[in-house]
Amino acid sequence: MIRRLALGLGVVFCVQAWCCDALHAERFRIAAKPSGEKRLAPELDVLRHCKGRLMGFCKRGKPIFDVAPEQSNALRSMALSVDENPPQPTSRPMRLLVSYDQKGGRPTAETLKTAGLKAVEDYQRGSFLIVEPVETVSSQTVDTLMNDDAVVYAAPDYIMSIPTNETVRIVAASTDTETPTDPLWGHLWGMKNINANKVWRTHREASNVIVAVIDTGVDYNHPDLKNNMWTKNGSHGFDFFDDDDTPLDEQGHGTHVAGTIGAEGNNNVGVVGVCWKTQIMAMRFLGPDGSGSTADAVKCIDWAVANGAHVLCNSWAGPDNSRELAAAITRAEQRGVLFVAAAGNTVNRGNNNDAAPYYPAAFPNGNMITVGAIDVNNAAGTFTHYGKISVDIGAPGVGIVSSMPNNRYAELDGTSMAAPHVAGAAALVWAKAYATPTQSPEQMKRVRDLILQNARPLPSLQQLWGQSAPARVPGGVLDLAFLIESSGDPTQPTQPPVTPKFVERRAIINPAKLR
Amino acid sequence: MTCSFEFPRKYDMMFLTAVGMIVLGCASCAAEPGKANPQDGAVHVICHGRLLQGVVAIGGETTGTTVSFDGMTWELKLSDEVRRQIEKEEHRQVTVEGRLRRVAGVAIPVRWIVDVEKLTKRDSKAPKPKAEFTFTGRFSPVMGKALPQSFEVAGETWPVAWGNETDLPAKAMALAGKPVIAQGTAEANTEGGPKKYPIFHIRQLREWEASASK
Repeated sequence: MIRRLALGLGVVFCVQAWCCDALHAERFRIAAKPSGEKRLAPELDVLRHCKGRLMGFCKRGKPIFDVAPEQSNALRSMALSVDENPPQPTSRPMRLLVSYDQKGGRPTAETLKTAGLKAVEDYQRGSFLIVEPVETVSSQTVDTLMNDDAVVYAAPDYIMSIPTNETVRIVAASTDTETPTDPLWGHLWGMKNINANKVWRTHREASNVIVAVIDTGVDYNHPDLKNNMWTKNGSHGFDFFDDDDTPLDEQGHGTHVAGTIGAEGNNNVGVVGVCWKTQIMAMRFLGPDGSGSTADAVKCIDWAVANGAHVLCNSWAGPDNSRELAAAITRAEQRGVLFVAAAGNTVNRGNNNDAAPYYPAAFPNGNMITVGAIDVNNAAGTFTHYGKISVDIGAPGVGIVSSMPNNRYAELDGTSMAAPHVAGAAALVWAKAYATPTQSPEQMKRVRDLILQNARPLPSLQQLWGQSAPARVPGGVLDLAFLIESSGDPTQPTQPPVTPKFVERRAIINPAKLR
Repeated sequence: MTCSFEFPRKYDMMFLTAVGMIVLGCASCAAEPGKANPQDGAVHVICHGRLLQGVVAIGGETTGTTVSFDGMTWELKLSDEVRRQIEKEEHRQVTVEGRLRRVAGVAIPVRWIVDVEKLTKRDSKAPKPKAEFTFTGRFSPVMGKALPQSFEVAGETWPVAWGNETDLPAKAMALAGKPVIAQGTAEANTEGGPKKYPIFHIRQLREWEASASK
C-alpha cells in the first residue's frame, strides 16, 4: 500500500516537474558572439533574435538569459559558450547605455516608455542616455530601441553590472597587465597563444614604431584605435583607392587587422592589440569589395616607406607575379622596412604556395615574413596556404575577434588575421630591441630574426612551413615568450645568429649547417 | 601535403576510358551550352566589359583577373592558353564567354567566377549589348507565390526575374520541376551590393528534351 502511494506521489511529482519545465522558460548564462547588428552589443543582439529576457549579469560578468524552450537552439547558435542552470544574476540594478547621434536627436520619450525603460541620465558629452529597465530587458525592449532612428548604439552598462569585488580584481589586473580590462579579452585566444599577455607585464608599448596597415583602410575614429593612429598634418595615412588623404575603411577588413596589431590596451573598451600603444598608419587601396590593383598596392608601399613606417602589414594577395610589386618590396627592403604578408586563403583545402604561388606572399625578399594561420588547437586552419619554402611562420588566424568600423567588433578567419599578430609582435620586438627604432636594414633583420628564431615548433606543422631561410624553425608558430624579462636579455636570440648567406633569400636549408 | 596511390594495372584501361568519357562529356557540354544536361546544370554567360589584370584581394581571394560591366565585376578563371593570349595583346574591352560560378570565400564571403571558355577583344566604340546567360536546370516554384522565383542549377538555387514578359511565367509554372533551358540577360542587383546575385531576366524558355532532340 505504502509502495503504491509512493509510486503515485512520484508520478504526480514527475508530471508536475514536466509541466513546470514546459511552462517556464529556460535560463542560460552565455558568452555572446560579437554582434552582427552594428547598433547592438552582442548580448542585446542575442536577445533580439532569441525572444526572451536579459535577467542581468552573473558575478563573472556573463549575461543571464531567460528564453522560451523553443528558442534555446537559436541562443546556442549565437553563443561562444553556454552554461545551463547558471547562478542567480547579481542584485545590482542593470542599466543600458543608449548612444544617440547628436544631429539626429535623442530617442523619444515614447520609445523609452514602449521599451519599458526610464532615463536615469542624459550624458550629453558622451552623447548617450543611461536608462534603467522598469522590469527586465526583453526582446521587445531591443526591438523598440532599434525602431528609433535616433538610437546609434545600445549596450548594457557593463561596469555597473560588475560586483565590487570583481571591479577590484580587474583594477588589480590592470597593474599586473596580464589580464587587461578590455571587455572582449576573454575571446582573444590568439594573444594568449602567442604569450603576448605574459610579455605585457614588462613590454606592451611600441609608441615609436609605425605599423602601416596596407588594406581596405582603417576606421581611425574607432574608440579602440583612435589613440593609436599615426598622424601627420591631420591625416592618418593615404587612400590610393580614392586618391585622397582620408583612408577610412568601407569594408571592415583593415580595421580588424589594425585592432589585432594595436587596439588600445586596458581602456575598458572592446579588444586589445598585441601592442597596447603603437602608431597605426592607414593605407587604403582595396575597395569595398575587398579587391584592388597591384599598381595602387605599389603606391601604398612606397608612400608608407617614405613616411617612416617600420613594419608593413599586408593581408592581401593575388596570383600574378608583378615585377613592379617585387621592386617596391625590394625598395622597402633596402630602406630597412619589414614586410609581413598573409600566405592566403582557399576554402577548405588551402594551397601550396611553393607550387602555385600567391604574391606578395611568395616573393623571396629578405624583409619578408609570410604567415600561415593556426586555430585554437594549434592546428593549421583548413583554408590556410602553406609552403615549406615560401611560408615562414604560423600565427592565430581562426576565430579572431577584433575591431570593425562604427564601434563594432567581429570574429573573422583568415591568414589576414594571422599576419597582424606577427606585425604587432614585430613592432613590440622592435621597440624592445631598439630605444630609437629607425628604418635600417640591420634593425629590420634583427627584428625579423628574433621573431623567426624564437618561433614555437609544432611537429604537426613541420611539413607546412618554416623550412627555408630566413625561417629557422620548421612548423614554427609565433611566440613572444622570449621577451619575458626573467630570462636574461630578452632581445638576445635563443639560438645562434643565422649565417647571412643563407638569410637574405629564400632557399631550402640544412639546419645542421647553420649551427 | 601530397598523397599518391597506385592504381591496379588491370583497371588501367577501364580507368582511362572512364576519364576519357568524362572529359569528352565535359567538353561537349562546354562547347554547346544549349545542349548541356540539366542534371549537371550550368549557368553559361556572355558578357562584354573592361578587362582588369593584376588584381589582388584580401586574403588572396581572387583569380587576379576581372571583367567589369554594367555595375558588376566577375573574376575570370583563365586557361593557360587564354592567359598567354591576353598577355600578348593589351586588351581593354573584351567579350567573355564561359560558365559562371558562385564561390564562398574565407575573407570574401561570395565570389563570382567565370571559367572562361573564350575571350575576344571588342571594339570599345561599338554598342555594348547586355550580358546574356543560358541556364540549364529546373524551375523550383515557391509555394504560395504566383511565379517561379528561382531556378535550380546543379543543386544551387539562382533567383530569376520576369520583367514585362507575360506568357513566360505561366509556361515556367507548367514546366516546373522539368529540365529546361532558360535564356535572357543579366543585370546588376543595385540594392544588394556585390555579394548578391545579379538579376537574371528570362526572355526565352524551352523544355530541355525538346531542344535536345532538335
